[in-house]
Amino acid sequence: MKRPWLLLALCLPALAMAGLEQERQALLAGSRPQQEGLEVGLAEWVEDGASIPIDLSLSGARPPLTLSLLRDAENEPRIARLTLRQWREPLRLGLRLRLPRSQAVEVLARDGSGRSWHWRRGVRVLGSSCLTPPVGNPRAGLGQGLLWLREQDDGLELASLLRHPMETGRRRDGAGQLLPRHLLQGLRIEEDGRTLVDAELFEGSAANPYLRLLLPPGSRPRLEWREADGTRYQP
Amino acid sequence: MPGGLSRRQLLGLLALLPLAAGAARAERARVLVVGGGFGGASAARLLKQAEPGLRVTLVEPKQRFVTCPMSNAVIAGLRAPESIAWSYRDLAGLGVRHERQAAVDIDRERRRVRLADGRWLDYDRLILAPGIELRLDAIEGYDAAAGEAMPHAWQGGAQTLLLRRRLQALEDGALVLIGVPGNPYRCPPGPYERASLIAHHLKRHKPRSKLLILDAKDSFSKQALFQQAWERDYPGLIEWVGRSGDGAVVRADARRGELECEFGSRHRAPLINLIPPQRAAAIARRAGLCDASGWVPVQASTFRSQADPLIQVIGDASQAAPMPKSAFSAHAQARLAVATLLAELRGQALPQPALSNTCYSLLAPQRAVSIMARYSVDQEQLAEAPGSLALSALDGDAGLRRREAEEAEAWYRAICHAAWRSPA
Repeated sequence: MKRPWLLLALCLPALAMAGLEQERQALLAGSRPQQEGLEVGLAEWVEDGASIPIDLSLSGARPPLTLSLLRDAENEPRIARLTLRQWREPLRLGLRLRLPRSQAVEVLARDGSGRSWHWRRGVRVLGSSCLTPPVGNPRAGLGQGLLWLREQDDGLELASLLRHPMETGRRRDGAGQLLPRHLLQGLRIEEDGRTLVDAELFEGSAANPYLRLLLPPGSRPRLEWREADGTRYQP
Repeated sequence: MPGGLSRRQLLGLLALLPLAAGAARAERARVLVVGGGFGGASAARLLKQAEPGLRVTLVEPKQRFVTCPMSNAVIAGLRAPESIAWSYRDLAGLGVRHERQAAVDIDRERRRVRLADGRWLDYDRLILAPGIELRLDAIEGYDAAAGEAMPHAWQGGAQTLLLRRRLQALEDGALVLIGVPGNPYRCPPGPYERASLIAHHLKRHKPRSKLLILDAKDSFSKQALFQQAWERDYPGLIEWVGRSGDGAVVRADARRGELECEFGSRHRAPLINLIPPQRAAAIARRAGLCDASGWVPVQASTFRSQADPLIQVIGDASQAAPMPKSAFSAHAQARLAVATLLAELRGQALPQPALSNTCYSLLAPQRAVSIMARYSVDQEQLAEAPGSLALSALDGDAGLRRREAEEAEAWYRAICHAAWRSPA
């Protein structure tokens, strides 16, 4: 074959779709998803796909809740997968996505009583600095975490951010060398030894992973990020 | 578009059909240009130059326009305020009617614009170049009064002079804070040029002072060039804190002179230059031309509003990414909008879009860097033309930086002449 890469290029979107469908089916487990109760704030277009805020609100879900964020045009469709055991109703959650180009984003959720939700929206990505060589050392400040707890009228607002490149292994440095893949495995929020939130992060999560969540008033959460090699970071 | 075209849209499209006698129609057409900045003033000039018989009215309340380009040099005391003020005299001499009123509303159904004094002006075609509005809802505690206490200087004129005076009056040893919004906003490299020139002023006049930039982004325009210059020319003077270092400002306390960031860091300083997030000017929003982002979506090949084909929206208010919101972009968009409008009136084929941007940023009085790019339109999407991006070399020597500073001055005069020509 003269152009094997062409075939590969043609197949990649199909593979991505297959991966997405697999993820979708695994999460929904045969249930029929609904839209009511799930609201998602996500821009229809962005100037820079490297860090796109997404805000979810879900009412009426019972714990434990599994939540999956997916995208439809990359080899790796997964953005993040979370299991939540406690939150302030309605669930309010904020994350940041990374999209190298225009595509659809999906949110899937299944709760403890077997109900599920599905949401999908196309996002136009007008440019994405996640594809260009980094300015400075992308590992600078690695592992420095920020945690912000604030008592609101209706709950405890938790916002967190970790300095981490979330390097996909697909980006080159200024000299043209591929930067080695280095993804954070995820983060956990605990209270008195109980896990409230367990999050796995994938390629679709923006560098310097961010998470915002409303917990019940008076919560005393502890937060920890973990690398694949077992390294742990605390704020 | 779901549900097909509405009656109004259909009427709009019909109105675009040229009449048999194209030139005659062009002569009779009433073209209204709202906003006398780089986009609007350039558009009015180009219209009148190409079609002297056209009735062109420029709606702009100001008698003289103070530019944002080069205003950072004025703020830092390196340039006289009068040197960045321009007059509408020459445009009036060309036959452009200058209506010295603010345009407040558009009645799209009846094709007319309401002025602040209550009068209505009819149009056959409208070019809207209203610029930006500072968002008062984005940063808690930020309002018009805070805008006086913590000047933004992101619109030329009184704010430019206010920040200049405040900087001059600053005591040696005092901290200067610059708060920078997330994308998109007017003039992406502007805050960093400002930081460079304020640092230059501090180094000379307030050697014990420092400058802190609180940024809602983790990377910025011409970053490597700016940071290299800061290390070399202003070592230890400028500190930049990006979003992941808790640089996104979320609250402002004007009375205490304090900013608070996303993760709770608080910073106090006697001089705070808070540049708030922005959106298209109010007239565009009230006319229903903006989308949820607050900016106006346009058809990339014509800069017609997606909501109304009789209105072309150019300059900072339009959504033209990856073109930056810059003076040069506004001028390039004015050229395309005018060529499209005239072709339409004359019944000719629409022009091929040719869009580009060039921006110079000063690092110090005799040193500048630049960025240029061309843009192409593919399926009504603007994209940077591959290989067209040119950025000043990172290893450029003092000679190159000095030459670029001279080019910057020539570039500034050229874009101002293309718009106003006569200094105020």
